[in-house]
This record gives sequence, C-alpha cells and structure tokens, in this order.
Amino acid sequence: MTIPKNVKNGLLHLLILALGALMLYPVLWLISSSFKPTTMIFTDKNLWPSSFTLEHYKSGWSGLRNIQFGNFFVNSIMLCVIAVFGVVLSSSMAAFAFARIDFPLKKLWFALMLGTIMLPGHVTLIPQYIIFHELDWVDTFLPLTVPKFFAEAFYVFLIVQFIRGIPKELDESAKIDGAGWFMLFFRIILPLCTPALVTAAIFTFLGTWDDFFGQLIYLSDIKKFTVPLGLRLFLDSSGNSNWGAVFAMSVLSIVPSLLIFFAGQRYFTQGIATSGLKG
Amino acid sequence: MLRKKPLFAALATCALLLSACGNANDSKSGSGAASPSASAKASEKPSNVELRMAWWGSQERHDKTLAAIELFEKQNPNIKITAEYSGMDGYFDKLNTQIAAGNAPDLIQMGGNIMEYVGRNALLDLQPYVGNAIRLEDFDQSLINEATADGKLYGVTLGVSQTALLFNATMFNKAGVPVPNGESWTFDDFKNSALQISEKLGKGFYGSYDLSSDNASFTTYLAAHGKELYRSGELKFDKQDVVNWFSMWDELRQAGAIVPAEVQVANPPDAVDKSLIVKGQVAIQGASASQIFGYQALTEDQLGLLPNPAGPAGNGMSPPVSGQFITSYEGTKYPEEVAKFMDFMVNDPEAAVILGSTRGVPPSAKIRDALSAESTPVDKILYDYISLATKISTGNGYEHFPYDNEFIKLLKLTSEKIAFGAASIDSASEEFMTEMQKMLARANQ
Amino acid sequence: MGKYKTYLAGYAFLLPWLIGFFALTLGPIIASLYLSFTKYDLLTSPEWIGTKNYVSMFTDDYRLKDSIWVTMKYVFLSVPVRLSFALAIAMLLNQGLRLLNLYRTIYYIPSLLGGSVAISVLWKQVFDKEGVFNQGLAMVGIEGPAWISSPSYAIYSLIGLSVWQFGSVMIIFLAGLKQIPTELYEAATVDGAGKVRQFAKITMPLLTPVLFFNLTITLIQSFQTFTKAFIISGGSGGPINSTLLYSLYLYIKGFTFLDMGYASAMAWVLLFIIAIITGLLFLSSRYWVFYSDGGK
Repeated sequence: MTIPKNVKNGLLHLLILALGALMLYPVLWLISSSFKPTTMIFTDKNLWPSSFTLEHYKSGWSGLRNIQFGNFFVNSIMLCVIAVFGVVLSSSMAAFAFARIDFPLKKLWFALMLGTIMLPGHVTLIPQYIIFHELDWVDTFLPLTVPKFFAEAFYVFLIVQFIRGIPKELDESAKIDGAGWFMLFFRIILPLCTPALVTAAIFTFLGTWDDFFGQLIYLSDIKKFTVPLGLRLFLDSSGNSNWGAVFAMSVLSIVPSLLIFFAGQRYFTQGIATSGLKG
Repeated sequence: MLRKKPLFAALATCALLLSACGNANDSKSGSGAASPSASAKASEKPSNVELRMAWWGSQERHDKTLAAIELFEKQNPNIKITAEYSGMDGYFDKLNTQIAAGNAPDLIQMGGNIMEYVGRNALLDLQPYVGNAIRLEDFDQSLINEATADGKLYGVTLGVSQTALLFNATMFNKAGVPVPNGESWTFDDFKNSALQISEKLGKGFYGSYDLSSDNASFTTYLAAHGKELYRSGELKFDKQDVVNWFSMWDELRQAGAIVPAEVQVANPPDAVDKSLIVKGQVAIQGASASQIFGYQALTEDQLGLLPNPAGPAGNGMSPPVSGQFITSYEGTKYPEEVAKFMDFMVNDPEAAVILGSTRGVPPSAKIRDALSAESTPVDKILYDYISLATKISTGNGYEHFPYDNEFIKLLKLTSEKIAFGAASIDSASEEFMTEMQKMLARANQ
Repeated sequence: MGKYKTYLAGYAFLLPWLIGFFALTLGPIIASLYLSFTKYDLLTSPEWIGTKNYVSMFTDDYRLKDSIWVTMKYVFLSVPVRLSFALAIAMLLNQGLRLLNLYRTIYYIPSLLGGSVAISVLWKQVFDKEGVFNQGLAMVGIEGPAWISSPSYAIYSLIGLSVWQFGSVMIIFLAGLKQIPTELYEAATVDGAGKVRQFAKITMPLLTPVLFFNLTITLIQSFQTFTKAFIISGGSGGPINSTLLYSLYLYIKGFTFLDMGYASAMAWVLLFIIAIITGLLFLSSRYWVFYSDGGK
C-alpha cells in the first residue's frame, strides 16, 4: 500500500493503452489502407502510408452509376433509428411484464421466447420470406422494421436481468402512492434501467447496421440499398474488386455507430442513484 | 404455373393474422395471395411491362449492363426493366429464397449451375421463341446444347469461356523457361516447366498452384486419360485414377514445385486479389478463361492462357462453354418481352459495343467480328484462347455430376487432407471413392 | 389491484411480443420442424421422408462429426476467455480514471466492425504466417505458425476474433457495474472492508444477474456463430473442415447443397442441445444468481 496513487494510476493508464493498441491495430491498418494508393494496399506493410490519396473516398462515395454512397447511409440510418425505437420500447415492455408482473403461463412464454433464439435463423429465413411476400412487403423496408416492434428475446432477457436488479420496495412504495402499472413502468422502472436501455439501443443500432443477410434478401432496388449491401457492390469474386473503396467506405461506416456509442456512453459512466427515490 | 407449396398455405395464414392485427399499413396486403401470373399471361401485348432483372458482378459490369438496359428501354418504350444487381456474395441464396417463395426476377443471370435449376423446373422454356424472338444462328452449337435439356432451351449464353490455365509469362521469362506450346503440351511438359521455374527462381517462388483440388483440372485430366467423371448415372473412373492424380501432385509438392498447402489456403488462387500469380510468385493456376481480365488488372506482369495439358487420350478439353447465361424465371408474366431482351443482349450491335467482354467473349460470331476492331490486348488473348480451345478440344462435353457442389467440396477436402499430411494418398482416395459412390446412390434413388 | 387486473396488465405489456410471436415467428419455426422431416431442395415442393434426415445425421455424415468437434472446441474455449476478458476490462475501466470515455471507445471499436467484409482482409494481415502477430512473436524468438491457414491452428484465429470483438459483453458488464448503488461501497469502506472484500461481497453478488445473462447469451450465440467462420474461411469452413462451425455447415447444406430438409433437421438438433444446456444453466442459477428483487 506504499505505492503513491499517481504512480499506480500511471501504470493503469499504461496497461490500458498497451492493451488498447493491440485491440486497435487491425482498425488502424484499415484506416491507413484506405488512404494508400491501390497498388500499395497489399504490398506496403507500414502503418503510416508513404503516400496519401483520397481517391478511394472519392471513388467509393460517388463511383457507382446513378447512386451515391450517401444514399446507403441515409437508408441504413433510417432503418437503425426505427429499429432502436421499436426494439427498446417493445422489449422493455415485455421485460417489465416478465420481471415484475405475475400472470398465468409466464414461465412458458419466457421459455418459448428464449427458445426462438436457439434455432439457427437460416432455416426460418425462407418461411419468413414467404410470409413477407404474401404481405407484399418484399423490397420495402417493412420486413426489416416492423418485426422490431414485436420485442426481441435478447433484449427482453437483458432488460429483465436489469429490472430484477432493482429492489422491489420501490414498486411497493409507488403502488402505495397510487401508481398503476403504466405509471410504475414509465416513471420508475424505465428511468432506473437507463444503462440497460442505452445498451439495448446501441446493440440494436449496431446489429441493424450490420445485418447484411436480412437486408440482402429483402432489398433489391439499389435506391433502397444499405451500407452493407453498398460495400458488397465493390467486391466481385471473379476479379476487379475495389478494395480501396471497400476500406474507405468501411471506415466511414464505423462513424455513425461510433457517434452513437459516444453519445450513449455517458449513461454507463453515471451510476444510478436509487437512494434518492427511496427516501 | 405459379408454384404453390403446402408450406405456402400455412404461412399465408400467419401473414393474414399479422395483417388482421392492424400492422399491415399498406392497402396491397390482401392481394398478395391471389395468383398474378395466370391472368396476365393470357392477355396480349401489354402496354406497360415491368421486368425485373438480377445479376451479380463487378462495378464495371453493373455500369455497362445498366447502360445497355437504358438503350433497350429507349428502343422499347413500353418495357421498363428494374435492375436488381449485387455482388456475388449471397446472390444464389437470395435467388433460391425468391424461387421458394414464387417471387423470382423475370430475368436471371446464371452460371454453370444452370442445370440444377432446369432439373427443378425453375426456369422458363425458351424453345418457343428460338428462331423468332431469340436468334441463335451465329452461336456455336455447343453453347446451345449446354443450356438444352430434353430438347428445350432454358438459357441464352451471355459470354463464352472455357476452363484454362492462367500463367504469368513474365515469370517464365525471368526463369528462362520457354512458354509452352498450348496446342501440344503434355503433363510431362507441365511438370518440367513447374520444376524448372521453382528451381530457377528459388525460395518463395513456385511453378504452379496445387491444382489437385481444382475440379476442372481433375475432370480434364480424367478425359485426357480416356476416362470421365460421370456419364448417364455412373462414375466413369476408378480409385487408381484418383491415386494417380494425387500422386502426380504429391511428387511436385515434394520437389517444391507447387505451392505448399498452408500458403495456398492463405492465398487461394480463385480469390483474384489474394492470388500469388498476380504478385509474380506463382507461374500457373487454374481459372475460367474470361477471368483473365480481373487478374491482369491487378498486375504489371504479362498474363496468358494455356489449355490443360494433354494425356495419352489427347487433350481432354471440352468445347468452349458458357461462362454465363441469361435465363428466365418459370413464373414470369411476360415471356415474350423477356425473350426480346435476351436477344437484345446477345445480338444487338449497339448493346454489344456497350457491354464489351464484361461477361466473357460474346457468343455470336457476328458480334465477335464486329468487336474485334476495338479489342484490347487482353481481349485478344482471350479470343485466341477460345479459338485454340475450340480447335483442340476432344472431350465430348462434360456431363455435370448430379451433386456438383458436393463433389467440388469433396475434391478440395481430399486434396487438403493429402497436402497437409492428414491422410495418405491411398486412404484419402479410398474415402473419396466411397463418398462419391454414396452421392451417386442418393442421386440414382 | 385485483388479480385479474394484474393478469390483464401482464398480457398488455407482453402484447407486442405475443403478436410478433404468433404472426411472424411461430409459423416459420413450425415450418422448419416440418421441413426437417422432408427432402426439400428449395426449388421444388418438400417431400415427406420421415426421420431419415435425423438418422443419416447420426449414422452417415463424416463432415458433421468434424463440425461438432470444431464447434465444441470453439464454444468451450471462446466463451470463458471472452467473458473473463470482458469482465476484467470492464473492471479496469470502471476505476474512476481520467480519459475513460476514450478508453472505452478504443476497446469497443473492434466490435463496431462486426461482420464487415473488411474483417477477412484485416485478420489475414494480423494472423498470416508473415503477419503482425508472428512478427511480434519473432521478437521474443518464437516462430509462429500460419494461424489462419493451418488446420491445427485455424480454430484459434477464429477464437481470437471472437475474443477481440468482446465489446458488447464488456458494455453489459459495465452497465451492470454502474447499476450497483455507490452507497454500498461507501458503507463498506466505512466498515473497513478492503477492495478484495468489496469485490467478493458486493460486486460479484450484485453482478450475478448480468453475469448469468452474459453467460447464457454468449453460449447460445457461440453455438450459432456463423459470420465469423464464413468470413475467415471464405465460406468453406476449411482447411480440412477446421473452421466448419455447426451453423456454417448447416448453411452449406441448406443453401449450397440445396438440402434444406437436412439443414432443418440439423437446426432442431442444435436447438435441442442448446435448450438442454440453457435449461441446466437456469436450474443452476437459483444457487448462484442473486436478484435484488428477492426472487429466484
């Protein structure tokens, strides 16, 4: 216990940074490659490019006929925002029911819900497509957004765990004050599990942003294409892959998620003071 | 005509349930269950036709195809074509899903797997349009045969190609090894070239990729030795042929003439940007001839094309094949317009100029001649190769194994087991034969 | 509040999920169960063949054995490493240090790349025979193997990728740590409890609901890992099936070999395995998971 606090902190910083550098190396390589001339991408091993070019950003952004990469960003962001709203609202509702309310068949529903995520998605893909086709929703954003309003098991489970971490006395005191279930949910439980909700929001954003297969199957019109689909347009198995553009646009595609993360993370940094409510 | 499945009915109920719940905010949802095709097909000359066309490819192909579509729409103001293009990733997954749901595009670009779809009645019979809407007079018969089953045509070739050995001429020169004469070279010549190149250029350079996993090379090898992979429900080779094949490659491997297994997995030849031929480290690899464009674009070295080497029974190469087809979904509402567009893609001189060789060598001889004035050096290598392959081919056409994809994976697995030393040639070949027989039994059931 | 009013409230909150379950999820799940008893090639109608798919899974599939072995290795190595790494980093980042926002972001960035196409190239740069990782090893005199392209090591590069993208697990731990009321620590400090004791008596117990969640979900997801193996092996699961995770093999069967009936049977067997493991976890949870709401 004789180590001075600032030395200990210095060592901690050093450790975090060293590990962080390891974590970041591949990403730095990606960023650096996006600025290298095509011929150097796979030959020049230096992290700091010996010659810079913005060519990949230009060709990636506006190199496709009739469409700009920006369109893909707009579509992706729109999908993600709707998804975040839908998932957080519907999943927290379901989670509240499971965690706090007693009703018949509760255990059965919960088990079934978890069961739905144990079946690999590849085998339900086609039946699901048939449903959306029957609804005439194919090649619209509906198959990618509407289901988000029906709660997702992963997030329900996550939020359940957090709600169960909140002492029940809070409910009781609220009920004594005459609050109904809806009041309890919106006024007490939701604010108290903000970290879980923000977590769910960030994951939903990322998951939707990244969902190549779903978007590939349901979207056909290039005007509706999203970022993952747009990125694949630069790749061709039989040759002529524009890796420079892929890297450049991949770098750009991290930015929105990064901003969301940055904005959301202050909710992890502030502890939730439950005491104030109790008193 | 519409392919209704039992699966369909049950799931439609789910869909109805959903729309009943008031979440279907579009008014069209109720009409989804009605069969759209039957009524529309009967009507004559529709005034406003909308077709969907799906293809995969590079940015260049997208641009050129879109330009060709625009031209077609100008010539035919009553037809509008919606383009549905993507990279190769997931193309067939999506297509299969669409076919399963009865929602496939009217025009579909297909590869060598066309017969899988023909066999399952997923494609439109084009025979009624041949000779009127679709003109194939300038096509080689072999290209037509390839898309024909039971006397019916199911696809029109968009580009001619052929399996080939892609070689790095600059490396041959550097090593002082003469480029072989494709018309006459044999497996012994191949071995010698590979050995010499790796020997002269030293560590890290190889005469050839390990082609023992390459299904096209394997099947031509069989044909060059008087055998065949498969015909009419039977395997036409035996274990000894497999052992010979892998032994030949093992010999080269021991001599350091071909790429070692670990390096090959890390730099697979079929991924253009990872291929070591582009980096000037490997002199020979297998490829489809029309792929030369992609490889050449990534290197300063001079690339060229050679046929597979000849064996005792001659060269064993099949006549040139279609690299790609345009086909139509069996459930299309507008077969006539579809046929018209297919003809446009292969016979319209203006479209030919726009499309160039983005899908391989144009199949129509007339178009080929018209284009030859503007051909690039790489075009010329490809055109010359196709002519050579036409001339020397001896095989009587490759008959696809019923489970082609599984065979390709099995060959690769067997090759890797031997190359990594996980199994002996004999036991791996034995296992290969057993699995092939099992698949055959499944197919003949 | 009356009993029935409570029931009604429960179902009202559950309603969105119930609608989705019956309208969108249940049908396809039943369909896949039905398909698992058929021969279904996607392009033609399914044909009933009884339990044949299940029988041949257990008697006649040489790839499946490889695939199950690879998956077990992947799950039982990657899950503990990923979880403990994530927890350790979350604890490290939960010390009131400066620049924490920056650090958290640094550790989360790899996860932002998710299943991006760029990963295949990135990972090769790092774990190739001449890659950065081996260059590092060379500095301390070790000659590293070809991590991605050797059948004996490829699975470790896959596990490495899974650990590298530990961000989401870390975030959940962080959120869990933040939910622990600070006054508990304050009180403990007043009572003279040291850091270790605080960790054992306050942090761990109160973190168990989140730990339980992470364990369960990471297990379920690891059994179904697909994208990582697909990207790293270029869709082949090679070399020599060494990265042929169960879900990848299922995909190849269903979509490449067009044997969706068999793939569906595989999916139901996997569901069965995961359900048993998850069930056991839930049973065990009453002995080690502590909920502040007093429930079990």
